[in-house]
Amino acid sequence: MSIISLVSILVIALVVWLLVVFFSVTTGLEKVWVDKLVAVTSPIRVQPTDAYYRSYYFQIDALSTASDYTAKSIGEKVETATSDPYQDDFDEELPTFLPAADRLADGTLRDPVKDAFKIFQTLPEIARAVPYEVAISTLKLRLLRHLNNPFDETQSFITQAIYVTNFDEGNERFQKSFLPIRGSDLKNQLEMLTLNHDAIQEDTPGQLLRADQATLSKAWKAFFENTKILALQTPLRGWRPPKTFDNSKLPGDIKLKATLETSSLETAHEAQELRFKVEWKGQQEEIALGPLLIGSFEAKRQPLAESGIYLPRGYQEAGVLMGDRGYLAYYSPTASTLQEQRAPIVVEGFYDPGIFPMGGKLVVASPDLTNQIRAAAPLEESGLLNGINLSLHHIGDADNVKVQLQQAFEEAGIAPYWKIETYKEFDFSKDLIQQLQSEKHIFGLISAVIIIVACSNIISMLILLVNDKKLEIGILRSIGASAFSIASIFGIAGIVMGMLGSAMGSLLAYITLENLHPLLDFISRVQGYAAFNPMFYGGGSLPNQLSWNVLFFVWGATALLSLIAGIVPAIKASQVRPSAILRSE
Amino acid sequence: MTPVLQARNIRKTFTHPTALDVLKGVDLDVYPGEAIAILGRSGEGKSTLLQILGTLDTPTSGEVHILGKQVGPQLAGLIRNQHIGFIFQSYHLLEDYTVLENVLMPAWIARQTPPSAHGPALLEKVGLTERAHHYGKQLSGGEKQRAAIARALCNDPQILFADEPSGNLDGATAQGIQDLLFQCVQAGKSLIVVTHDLNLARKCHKQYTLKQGLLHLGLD
Repeated sequence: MSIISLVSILVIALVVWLLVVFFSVTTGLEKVWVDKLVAVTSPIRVQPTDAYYRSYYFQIDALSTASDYTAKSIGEKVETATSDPYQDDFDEELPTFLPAADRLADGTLRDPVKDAFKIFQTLPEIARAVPYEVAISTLKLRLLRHLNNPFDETQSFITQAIYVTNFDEGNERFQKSFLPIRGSDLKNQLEMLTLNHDAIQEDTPGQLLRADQATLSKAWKAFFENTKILALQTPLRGWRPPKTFDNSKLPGDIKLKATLETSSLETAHEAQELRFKVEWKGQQEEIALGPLLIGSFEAKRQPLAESGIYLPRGYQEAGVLMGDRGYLAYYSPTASTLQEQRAPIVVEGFYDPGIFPMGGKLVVASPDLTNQIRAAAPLEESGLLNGINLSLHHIGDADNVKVQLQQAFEEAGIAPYWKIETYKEFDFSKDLIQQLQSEKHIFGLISAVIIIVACSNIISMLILLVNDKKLEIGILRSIGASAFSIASIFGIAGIVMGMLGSAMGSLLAYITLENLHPLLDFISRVQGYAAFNPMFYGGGSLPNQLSWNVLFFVWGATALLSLIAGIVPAIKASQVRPSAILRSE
Repeated sequence: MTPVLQARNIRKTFTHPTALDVLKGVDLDVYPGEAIAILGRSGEGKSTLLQILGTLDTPTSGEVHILGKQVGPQLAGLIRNQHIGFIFQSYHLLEDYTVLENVLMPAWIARQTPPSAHGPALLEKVGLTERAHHYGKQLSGGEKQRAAIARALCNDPQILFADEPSGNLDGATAQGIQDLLFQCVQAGKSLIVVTHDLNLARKCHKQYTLKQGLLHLGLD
């Protein structure tokens, strides 16, 4: 009997372990994915509708001198002093196709943008409201490598159609998705500073032009104000140690403590000519950077320059480095044709976009650069690419905030002008989120069935126990135990078994999650290839945080099911007739 | 004097596998401090009658009153725990518990605090002090029955029911058990004993014979 009990408990433990580990990992993955999605976008987006673009409020800017006959973006509408720039006595007569102005009772023009921002301020759940723009462009990057070695020097290009969106300096979530700066990034930045990139927008950039010494020294000084190189790293080949280091045969991948010789900033023409004081086994020597790598450093991330861009992770994997230059090409309509425009850019960092399909093509640029590209196309033609990002203190409030906003917009009379979407409804992410949700629901359903099967094992075990303990039940009844107290014994036994299995499974799950990475490494070694591709799962590694929600759900479900499982044998036990048992004995 | 137990027109019919009227209208009064013996041939329904009187079974019809209260399903458990003690031929100790635990089990069921207070006194009364911490399965037949008597006395009941209490024991041991039972009678408890042992029956104040479903006063 005790073996059957043990098996029942172990089965429940196994099921609980499986469920807690699976759901903890998938919940963690969902959180990582959603965090990355809302880092690049936001938990809620408020976008203008067709009614907005057809409205007098939007179109009047293109017909008014005060607006320079140019439609305004949402950001510009926020900044502008007057909602209605049209002047009867000065501007031309309004065309007949223009719809009537949506005016308030006092005759002033309703301002859907300013009214919306006023409403945002009333909701404490909203941390920030920032207008965003998305433009379509073509990115062309020129990758120059091995500039110090004429035999190895290479030049290659990357060209890709991309979306450009504006960087929001205050978006802390996005800043958390930055990939760490690498030594190779810094060295590339140093090398790129030696060049004059004025001709970067040309179709076939010719011979490399060097920056003049004064400009270069100034650029280097600015660079080293924010970056401190702490150690240089020896390459595997191509570097000869100074003679004073002769007695210490230096292998590759050795870090040498290094301090920049600032005087070399004035004299060096190439990055490799920058000089450092290095230390090796107590010996000091001043050496040129040469082919040495940057081993360790302190680098502060700088505010994004007007021509700066952040690229998604995929570009870093394709060999792009910080400091690489190129341009963004976009088309501006003229009276007779489309004219290609090119804006020079410099790569200032990389971010992790998660696994969303659009993520690999979303380049984050300065607001000015984004606005410049977006403004080249008529705004109403790129209607869905302009809106307001709402950052929330807690992502979980998104649905609730949407409802509140919808209600407030309706009360303010601006609901027809806006479409409010949470991250679950974004065109580029809803399929993935829905798929994830439905997979979780399906597995949840399967898990419920598995738990029911595991707990029903308790029924069989307890019925056997009741049959085995009939005499004891009869004896206890003969000395006054009530049918209810007898039933309780078996009911409680069911719950205890369920909870014991639950506790064991939870403990196992905790241990598994705590050791998830070594465990995956072990599995990967055994099978000879990676058990899980962490890149696909959205970052450095699989999430291994125990999900308390899952744990509480599993505990609750197990307790309830084992209680139900205990009821059947409990009823059977309570119906044992002591007279029949004691007589037969 | 008010009887501690009254049975009126007790009938019991077994329907399976065929209808069988075992008790056909039994009346019985038992008074405080009275010992009665019920005799009869095997299969006459002595044990059935004892279990109905002791609330372990329910009659097909008729009423049982214990201490003036009519026995029903709601009260049966409480009456068995507080006012009745059972002694079976097969002892029926819980084998996985010690003697002391077995003896105090009725007190635990009654949730008396502390339940163990009078345990040693009960064991001393039945001469099992030395065996207090032995398990039921480690005792001899006589010792088991002594432990069963101590258990029956745990909550100081007014009525003791004994079903062939010395039926499985040798003569000397049986005598010791009977002495213990009659000490209880002398202490004021009522005893209803079902037995084939005429010597034991003769020690009781009254003897009844169950025959053809009816109870007759006197030995057959």
